[in-house]
Amino acid sequence: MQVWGTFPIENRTTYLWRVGSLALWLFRDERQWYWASDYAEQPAVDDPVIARQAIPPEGISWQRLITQSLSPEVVVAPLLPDRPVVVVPSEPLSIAAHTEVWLYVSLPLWLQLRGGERLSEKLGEFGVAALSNTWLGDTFSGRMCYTLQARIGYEPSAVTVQLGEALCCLHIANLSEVTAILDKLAIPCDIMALYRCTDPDATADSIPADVLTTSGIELSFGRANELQVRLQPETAAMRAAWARVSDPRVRAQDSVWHKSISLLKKIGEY
Amino acid sequence: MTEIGLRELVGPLLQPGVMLRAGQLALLAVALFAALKIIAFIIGRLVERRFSRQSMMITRKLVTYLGSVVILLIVLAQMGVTLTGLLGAFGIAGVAIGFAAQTSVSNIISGVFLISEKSFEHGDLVRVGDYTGIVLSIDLLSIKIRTLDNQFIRIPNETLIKSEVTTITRFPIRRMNVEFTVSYNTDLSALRQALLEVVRAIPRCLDDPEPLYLIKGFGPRGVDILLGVWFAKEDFVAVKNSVHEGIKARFERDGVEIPAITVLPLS
Repeated sequence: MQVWGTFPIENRTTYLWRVGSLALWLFRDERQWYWASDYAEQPAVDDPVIARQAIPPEGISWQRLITQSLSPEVVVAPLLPDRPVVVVPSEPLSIAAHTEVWLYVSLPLWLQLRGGERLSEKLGEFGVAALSNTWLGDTFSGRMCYTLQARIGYEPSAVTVQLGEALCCLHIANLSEVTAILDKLAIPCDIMALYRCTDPDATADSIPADVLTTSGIELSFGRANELQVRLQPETAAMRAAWARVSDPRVRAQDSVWHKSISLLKKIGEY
Repeated sequence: MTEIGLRELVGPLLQPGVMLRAGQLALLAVALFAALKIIAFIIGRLVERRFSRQSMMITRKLVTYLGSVVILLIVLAQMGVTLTGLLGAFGIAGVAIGFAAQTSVSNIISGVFLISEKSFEHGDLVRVGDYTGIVLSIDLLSIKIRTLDNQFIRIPNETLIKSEVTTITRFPIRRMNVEFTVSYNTDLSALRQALLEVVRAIPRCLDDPEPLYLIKGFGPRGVDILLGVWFAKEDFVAVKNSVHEGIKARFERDGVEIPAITVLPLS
């Protein structure tokens, strides 16, 4: 069943999306959109459900947005999480000195609802799984992340990717003289893009065409055992075989124009 | 009689030359104040980049006040007022004001120490004595806070220097301690497991740093337990409610008893 895409929403009818642990109810009354969400204790193992004439549970909390446009359609788009995800493998990974490995892990997606004028007004974003918070750093400084107990595979086929998930490829190079032991991996989801394969024959990886994949991550341990993390660059060959489904959430706004406008605004507020 | 008096008073001021001069002086004052604003902005930005937001706020005010005095003197000099006598008068007034404003001077000096210590910043949640509130501004003489029940409180800098100040939101994450007592017939290892499960089921509770489970000791009513839960500082209310609700529900499910305090009437 196709979860992502553009869907017509009948007036005064409640729809339900059930993907992973997420249950999302959507109701439209002319230009007013109502939505509510809830999480099941266990994720649905069967196919996702999109139901019409759904009956939401009593007492659920609704949110509402009034849009300018009378457009009856809604876009349901996949997004990566808004913070880095710390993946905890079932057992620590040890990578011998001067060794490179490719690892694959499935990451839960966010579901974004858009409607209104040109289907560009954001109604809401919902994780398909209720991830727990974790802190990456010490108690004085660091970064808030999500945590995920995940099974890590050495081949794409070794990882089961559900419909509300995306496959992430990690290339880890241990360039140091000692064995690197990884008990957790922080994946910077907020700066990664999401892709869909458009030409499976053109890709070296045996990734099914219906599986969404993220930007690749390269981790390397240098000679002094310092860790470097960077995104794999988007090459021309990659652009030919993969279509970008969503952009990174965090984008640098460092153009001269943005800086000038920002400076003028600050002088004005001073 | 009155008409003649007014004409005599206002007439010279309405001369074209005087009007032109007044316009020039007004223009000069406006240009100088605009330049002062830009200079204060640039200096403030430099200070903020190098030091902190409160240093920027104080520096900006100092530059603005000093610059305003200088602009006033420049305008007066352009108007032909002799500054020597005026500065002499300022000196005498300064000594008199200095004696009268010892508290203010003490507050200013305390403010400088507070800023150099960087104990808190604009927007921090602080506790000073009986007051807990968000820092609205750090000024030369005092800090202004908004309490959680929306009261505006001004605390002199001198008071802050002399008191114990707790910056509740200094660090990005906090630990909340939940202390309670369970009866002596409780299985403590099962209790530990149950409490950790309760915490794990609340997404806002951090799994790293790990929750703290501590048997504090044996008290008169039972075993005293401390559960420390880490969370992001902005999640305080949600985590506090969720953890207490979760513990109560789990204890009810597992039949764990929290001994009630029995109050005996004095005979």
